[in-house]
Amino acid sequence: MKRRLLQFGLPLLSKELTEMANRRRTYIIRTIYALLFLGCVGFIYMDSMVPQMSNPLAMLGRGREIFQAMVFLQFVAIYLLLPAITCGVITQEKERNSLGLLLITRLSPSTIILEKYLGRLISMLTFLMLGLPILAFAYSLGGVSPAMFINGLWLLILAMFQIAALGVLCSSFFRTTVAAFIATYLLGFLLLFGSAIASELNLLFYGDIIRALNKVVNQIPGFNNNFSRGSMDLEFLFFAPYWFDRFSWTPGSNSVVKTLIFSLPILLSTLVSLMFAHYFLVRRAFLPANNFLLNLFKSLDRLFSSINNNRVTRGIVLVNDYVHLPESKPIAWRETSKKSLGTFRYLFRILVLLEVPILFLCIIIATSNPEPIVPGAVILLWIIWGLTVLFLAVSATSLIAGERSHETLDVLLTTPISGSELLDQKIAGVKRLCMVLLIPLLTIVLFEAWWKWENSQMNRGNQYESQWLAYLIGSLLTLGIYLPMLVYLFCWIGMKIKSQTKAILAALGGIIAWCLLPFILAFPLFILIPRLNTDSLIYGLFLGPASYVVLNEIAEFHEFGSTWVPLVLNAMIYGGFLLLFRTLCRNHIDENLGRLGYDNNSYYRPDIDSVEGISFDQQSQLSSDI
Amino acid sequence: MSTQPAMVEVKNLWVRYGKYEAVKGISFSIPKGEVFGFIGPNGAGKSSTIKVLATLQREYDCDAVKINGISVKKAPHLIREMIGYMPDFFGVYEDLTAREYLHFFAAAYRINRTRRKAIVNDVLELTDLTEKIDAPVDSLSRGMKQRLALARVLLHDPDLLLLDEPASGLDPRARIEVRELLVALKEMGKTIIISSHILHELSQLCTSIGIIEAGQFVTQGSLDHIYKRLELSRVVHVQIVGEMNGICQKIESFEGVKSVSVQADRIAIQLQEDQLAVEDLHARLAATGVKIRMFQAEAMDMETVFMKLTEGKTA
Repeated sequence: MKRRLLQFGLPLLSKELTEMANRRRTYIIRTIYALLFLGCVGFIYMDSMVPQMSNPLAMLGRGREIFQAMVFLQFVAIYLLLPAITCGVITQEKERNSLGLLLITRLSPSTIILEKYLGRLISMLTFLMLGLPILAFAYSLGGVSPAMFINGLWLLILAMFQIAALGVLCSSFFRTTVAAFIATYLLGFLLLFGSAIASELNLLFYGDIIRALNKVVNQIPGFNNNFSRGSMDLEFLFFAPYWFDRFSWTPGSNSVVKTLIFSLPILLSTLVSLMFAHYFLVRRAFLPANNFLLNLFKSLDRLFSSINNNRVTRGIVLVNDYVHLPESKPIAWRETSKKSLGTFRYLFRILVLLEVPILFLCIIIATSNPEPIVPGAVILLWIIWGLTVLFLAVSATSLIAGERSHETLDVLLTTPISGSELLDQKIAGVKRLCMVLLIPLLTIVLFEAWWKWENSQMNRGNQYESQWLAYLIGSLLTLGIYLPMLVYLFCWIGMKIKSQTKAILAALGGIIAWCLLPFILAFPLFILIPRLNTDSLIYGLFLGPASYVVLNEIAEFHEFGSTWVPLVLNAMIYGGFLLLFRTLCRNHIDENLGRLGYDNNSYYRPDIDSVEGISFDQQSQLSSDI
Repeated sequence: MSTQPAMVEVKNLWVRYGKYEAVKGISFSIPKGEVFGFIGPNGAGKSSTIKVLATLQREYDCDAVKINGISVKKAPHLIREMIGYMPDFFGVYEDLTAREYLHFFAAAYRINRTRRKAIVNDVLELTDLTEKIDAPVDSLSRGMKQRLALARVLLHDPDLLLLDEPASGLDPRARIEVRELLVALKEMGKTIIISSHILHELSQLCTSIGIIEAGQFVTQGSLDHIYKRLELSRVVHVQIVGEMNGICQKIESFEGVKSVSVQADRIAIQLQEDQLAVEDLHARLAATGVKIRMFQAEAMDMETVFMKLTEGKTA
């Protein structure tokens, strides 16, 4: 009997929960989340309730606002936190070489997947349960219909299932936590918003197809009333908050039934993710250490070579990529000739892959848009910015963290290369990457500036939308400052955090938090100090680096009254940050890497063949200790 | 009168990681050309001390830590020219070939370009890796990687080699190969500090040893000196032809013999070497008229020394 109980005892789930309970950071993160969450809901309560405090009856029925705010905050938490929580669930076992041990036990692959999945769901559930007191409170205030209540909980749980399953799938497929982390966020983004973006850009006539499909569906009897928002319903099929917003306003059991029906695609995507996770678990359990990017570039290499070998070009070679032995800068040599994100031929592939579709899209977008602001180009620029941050985070944080994880750092540090020289050589490959990423960004910026100039000639758009020169200078300054700033910031994070995986995750998490910082700070400020109006704190937006990029693209400078003041202010703030991060990296590299440095500027270089070149005075000076 | 400074001089070295004291005031001095064996259990402070000498430890207190008379703290850049450091892990770039790896470090040590090729060939020959010159590093065996790491530390012809557990994780053949290489380096006059757990090998290689436990030296000096100080007896195995009537009593009566035990086919004699040398024992045995078939002195056992001196404590 006891043996049977043990067999059904969910040992892996018990282990996961025990491990989680033993980690101090579990409680720290939970406390921070609780404070942020309860604080946000509290501020919303104060904002909406304080004017009604004098009349308690007026407060009745206002629970709906608090409930909705709570549900949307929980959705944000699920989409932001859950990929990070779940992406390491299998990859950590692979990295510790313990997945093989699990697979040879009596646990079947499906049990492993489900227990791991449950373990992370319980973890997320503890976060969501922090909302229960608020839920009870909002319900007691009235205004929350049973249908809204059921819809909210059902969709929250479904969103949790969906994202956790996607995280488990990526974790089962990839070998490292970093790859799974990036893939989970990218796939999640594509799953939730890919359809809407493709429709907006009308990629491969996707928007036309969706609109046609919508017309067809609307002609089916019984469906014509349900797709009331047109093609949007089809574009956001997998996005739970959309359906909450769609059906939470209508009371009655009908809205619950509709929510259940329209949430079927979300449920289906969850099941598909879990099935694929199960499929890949054993097949991709023992992957050899390989460089995904390098393999991708090698296959692209073969493709490009086969295209190049035709009657016209006859395998023409524009740049000879022969690898010589290192001359005077060995670290830079390795970064630019041996790393997949540093070598010329592979960077050229990235450039072609990004630049050709961008040029193509720019032409399509320009021919179909009469306004000075081109939404398609704006979205494209933001996507390329996102990719740029991702590429830089991976490559710049790995500069030092990678040396540490491959146990080569100590050996490198005992060579006579000075700290600043080491840093300069290390970032040589990342600099090349920056140049390559700069080209597609510049293409879009120049295209948009030209388009604004064209429109300014025809006096189209408002006074800010057609200021092409301010847009161009602002964009160029942003590119010129942000790219090196990000490189030095990520490099500094890589020096500070010892594990490569943690460094990359911290870099990505840090930059997202920095971009959201003005909104995180402004929200409580506006609520706590009601006399503040938006104009008085509008420049606080520039506390986040993404704000100016967004404002400049959509030309939202009405509150500032000028395009130049925000431009100069933003350039000064982030120019300062660039100098700060550069100083942190260059001047403190020996300290950050833990080796003895030589602070004297007059760095003495002896004859390499012997140290007998040191004079007697120098010897006696150097031999006196402390 | 000029006195040549010791190659390594460490006085009252303390290394702390927060409240944890890894090294507690150790002092030692190593003359040029010596091979110093650094012995101690895990966590004793060996690697921390080696890291101080390799300029990889920023925070430490001392009265003096000098290499070739130059303070490590004051001129780490000069020290790096003088040392060859091999950590207790491989520290090799697996995306390079052996040739690229060695040229990489030759450039890092700023060896003249015209001399690099010859130096790389020399160190590869010394480490018996010439045939593997164009092999990717990740295709080499553990022993070969270790020899490649040794080749790397020899590139700039350093005066002092700091080798942290160079034979750990190697199979017996690879261990012997590495040991032979170290013997060759010793004969080339290099000063070597080597930490190891394989005590038997250290005894064959080192001219002096330091046993460290819980951050403090329990003993240091030449092996003979330590054996004598600990009054360790050496065991001599003797096979005698014919009857052994009364022989054991006679041997026991020799001054310097601690005990005699009769085993299946031999007699094991425990000897106080400072009172009776092994060769004297042989002479006295022969003088008794017995016919000796075998006379074999057991090698000094460093494991016994280690076990006797350490208690298994960590700092």
